[in-house]
Amino acid sequence: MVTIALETLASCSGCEISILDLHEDLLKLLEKAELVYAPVLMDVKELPDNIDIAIVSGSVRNEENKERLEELRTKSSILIAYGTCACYGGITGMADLYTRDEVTSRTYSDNPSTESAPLPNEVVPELLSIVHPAADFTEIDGFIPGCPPKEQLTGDILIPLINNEAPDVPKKSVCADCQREMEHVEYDKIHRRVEGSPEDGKCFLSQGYVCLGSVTLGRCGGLCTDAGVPCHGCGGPSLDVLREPSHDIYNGVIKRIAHLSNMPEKDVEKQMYDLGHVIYGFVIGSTIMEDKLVSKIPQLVKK
Amino acid sequence: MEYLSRKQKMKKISRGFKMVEIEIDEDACVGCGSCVDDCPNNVYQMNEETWKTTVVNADDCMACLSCHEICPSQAMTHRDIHVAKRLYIDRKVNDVLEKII
Ligand code: SF4
Ligand code: SF4
Ligand code: SF4
Ligand code: SF4
Repeated sequence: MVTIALETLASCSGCEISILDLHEDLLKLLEKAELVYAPVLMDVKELPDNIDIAIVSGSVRNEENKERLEELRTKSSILIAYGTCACYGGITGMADLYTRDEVTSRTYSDNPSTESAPLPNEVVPELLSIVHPAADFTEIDGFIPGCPPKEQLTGDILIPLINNEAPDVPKKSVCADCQREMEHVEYDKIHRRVEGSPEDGKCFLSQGYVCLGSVTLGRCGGLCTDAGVPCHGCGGPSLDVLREPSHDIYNGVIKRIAHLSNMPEKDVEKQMYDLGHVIYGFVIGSTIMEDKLVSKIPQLVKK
Repeated sequence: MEYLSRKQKMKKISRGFKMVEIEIDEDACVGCGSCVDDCPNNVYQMNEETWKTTVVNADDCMACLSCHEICPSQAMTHRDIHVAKRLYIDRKVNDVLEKII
């Protein structure tokens, strides 16, 4: 039996739930594997030794997350960063738009909807100064981005993995699966998502809405664009964006909008808004994305 | 003396090495025509019926990979090209890239 552990760091638990979402496939998984540690499912507090595959989700936000991750590394043969937070900082990385003190005072002392309280100085682990993806602190053997990774993908990866086979899953961008048609349409105004109502069947970029599908690793089947909402990049950067030093989410989207609308890139840039959420919402914590010379992340984060 | 533009020279050089094979994933292509607009050597043309790109001129490809840069859905694969010159020589990035499952 392959032993599997699921650990949650600074996470919303969505990643663990996505593994439960395997439904009947979970039984297939459990034919060959045994869940030895999964706080989301069982009453366990301490990590066992000799874990074959440890699946860690969430970012490293406090001292306890860091300690847990290090312990997990020493006790497991394969350590997988599961989900966009573990891989790139994910949405938890948006906390880096504020200083640590701003975050704690908003939580404890200066929150309009709760009674003000002093900062705890025991039991609650201390926050690190910024949010880190798991790979910042330890060697990771595999990354599975997604917020959360969708159950089909998870099944297609985990089932071969426990059978000691290499998973064969696509690695294209969201556009590859999106059913909308991308056309060249001249326009000169970028709309915010709340404005107007986008037409069905037609690419959001062709209608002046910011959609991150072309710069995002897909494998979700174009879930959001199918439901009428532009892709906000939860799958993390596409492999092209990661690979090329001069490629970034920001300049990739600008370039495509300019190309489709015939607007000069400078004009598109002027209309771009709220980059911390709209463009970099899922990758602010990633040093790889921040280290690119073209990245705007350094201008956004407060350290 | 025969005058060759920079583009033609590049072509000549790259041809000297190897012919390029280009594959299109039709399911992935969203029909934007960006590759047709961007390819400096007119390798692509849109299929008027399916409104997907088609390779009409693979011999002229100089493996600049401009089409990869612009294509929103990574619909094309070039075989037999020398990719090392395109790779981000940053160990951290390459390490992550290799490990994405
Ligand atoms: S940019 Fe967005 S809407 Fe357009 S094809 Fe790509 S995923 Fe679909
Ligand atoms: S369409 Fe984009 S935001 Fe929506 S699930 Fe897919 S990757 Fe995530
Ligand atoms: S790599 Fe692409 S853009 Fe460049 S010449 Fe070949 S087909 Fe055209
Ligand atoms: S750029 Fe890509 S998606 Fe657009 S037509 Fe060419 S192959 Fe199709």
